[in-house]
Amino acid sequence: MIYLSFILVILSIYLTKHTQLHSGVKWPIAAGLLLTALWLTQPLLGTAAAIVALVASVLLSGILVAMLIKRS
Amino acid sequence: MKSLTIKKLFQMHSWVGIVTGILLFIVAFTGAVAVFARPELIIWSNATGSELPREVAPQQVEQLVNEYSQHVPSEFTENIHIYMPTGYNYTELTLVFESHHGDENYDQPVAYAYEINSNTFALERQFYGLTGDYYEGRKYTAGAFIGHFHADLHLGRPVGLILTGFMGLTLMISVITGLYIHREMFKQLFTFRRDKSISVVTSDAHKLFGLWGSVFHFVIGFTGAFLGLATVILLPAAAYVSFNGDQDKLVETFTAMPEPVISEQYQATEIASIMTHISARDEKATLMDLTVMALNDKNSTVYARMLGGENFASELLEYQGNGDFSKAMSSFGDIGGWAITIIEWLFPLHFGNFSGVFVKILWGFLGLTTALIPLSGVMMWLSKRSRGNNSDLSAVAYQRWNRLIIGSCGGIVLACAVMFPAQVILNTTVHGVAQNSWFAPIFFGSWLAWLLLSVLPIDYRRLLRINLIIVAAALLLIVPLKIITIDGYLGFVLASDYRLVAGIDLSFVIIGSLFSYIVFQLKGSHAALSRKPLQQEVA
Repeated sequence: MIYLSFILVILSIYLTKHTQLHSGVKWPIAAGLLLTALWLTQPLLGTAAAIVALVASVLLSGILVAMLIKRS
Repeated sequence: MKSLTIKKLFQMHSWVGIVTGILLFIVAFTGAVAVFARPELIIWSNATGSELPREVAPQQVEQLVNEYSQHVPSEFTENIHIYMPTGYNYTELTLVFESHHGDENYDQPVAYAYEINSNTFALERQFYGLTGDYYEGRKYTAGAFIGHFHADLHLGRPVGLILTGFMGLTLMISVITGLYIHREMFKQLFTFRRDKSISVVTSDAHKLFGLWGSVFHFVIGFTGAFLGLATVILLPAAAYVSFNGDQDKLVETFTAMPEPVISEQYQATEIASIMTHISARDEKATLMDLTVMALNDKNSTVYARMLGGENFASELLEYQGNGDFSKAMSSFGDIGGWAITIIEWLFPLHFGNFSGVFVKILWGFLGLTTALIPLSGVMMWLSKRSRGNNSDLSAVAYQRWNRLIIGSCGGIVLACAVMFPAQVILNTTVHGVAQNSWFAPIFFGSWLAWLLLSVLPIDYRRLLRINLIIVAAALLLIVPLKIITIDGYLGFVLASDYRLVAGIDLSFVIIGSLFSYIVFQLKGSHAALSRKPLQQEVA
């Protein structure tokens, strides 16, 4: 479940940069994905740990998306 | 005025990076490895057969404590530490019976220690002597050695701690100045031109790691500075301000476990029921150790140190000897206030040990970016100085600088990689604490040898390739070595209780293969680069 939440975080970062969707659509979707990731990890890690892990996931996902996904 | 400020900050950013860059890489890289030291690498290092440390049943712990308490003088039962075989610090169930006031042989704290196999309950090692000697002389492992090196560079207190704490401060300064001077770069959050020249890739990676990881780097810098400087500068300063310089008084105030008052009335200390209650209270938390004050006395008190679970920071539980739960508190005792909460949070934020392996993987990768930022920064600085017709760094000097970086930074990577196959070999050739004397010569010897090699006038690109080949070979050698030295390794490697060790073995194979891949990639680019003059390359 934790790894699934990390995939959701990567997806949300990917969405914000690499899709042609309108800002009004992609930002709410990305935020929804992040909240879902938090909702998945909160029961497993506890609230504080889940938030810290989510922030760290966002940071690492940003680096991974920027480095590994080629710009179209 | 604004451009002048930016120029000054840029100079500050550059010079702080140049002066401390190599040391910062060394501290940050070993930190990224050390994230996995406790318990993962310690368990891995001690896995010499199919048996791994396992949880000991509460009734068994109580029975063993009572059994071994019969072997020590009565004053030693007033303070008993029971370390669980979790791998965080111990892989055996360890009972330390301590007398803070010494005994007939010593006038300092003295201890009887028993290290018991958690599978067979056989006594593996026993010790009698000064408490400090016991804790300093415990069995080391490759992972623990690297973790210790990260903490104080094996220079001890106060020099090592001040140095690593200072690295934390310089990291904070670099993050703040870097963000300010590169604030326009937020538009380039996703810019990474991997098909361009090495200079462009290095520059993009520096900005990418710096911008995305800035929060992490700042937190690591701040917490690292605190952990390094707290005991050597902040503690004496706090004692000077609030306790007239009396550090013992300060420590006593913040000690969560006061000395017991012995009643001399017998009452069995319910260790088993306390452990059962602890497990039921928070199933996900790890019981690190128990401290029993006044065993089997009416005034007996038991303290349990917990890690993880519902709590972000570690927690201390207090029980009465009869098994009644008294209270939960922080590691610093029953002291309230936001300052204590912040101090408590610094530890898990630095170590990344609050939520299992997943968070450790995040911390490990982000820690690697913390290490790569100063390295890429130094490379950018060198490249800039070597560029153009009026460069102030000659081609020979550029080569020397690169050899110095590969010798020191590549050397620390090599030394860390060599430690793991060495651990496998030591496990079959040297028994127990005798291994301790081998780690420093292997680690520092391989690092020094590599540094000396880098002094020779070898092309720095070739030197880098050799470095990567040795690292890859060392990591890929681990599994074959285990197959040869551990009887039936292939038979139990897939067993469910061996999953952690097998996972680490697999990680070594993956990382080793990745290094091999980089070597082959470099081989191609090396051939292309060697056809270009140096000035053209650095441009």
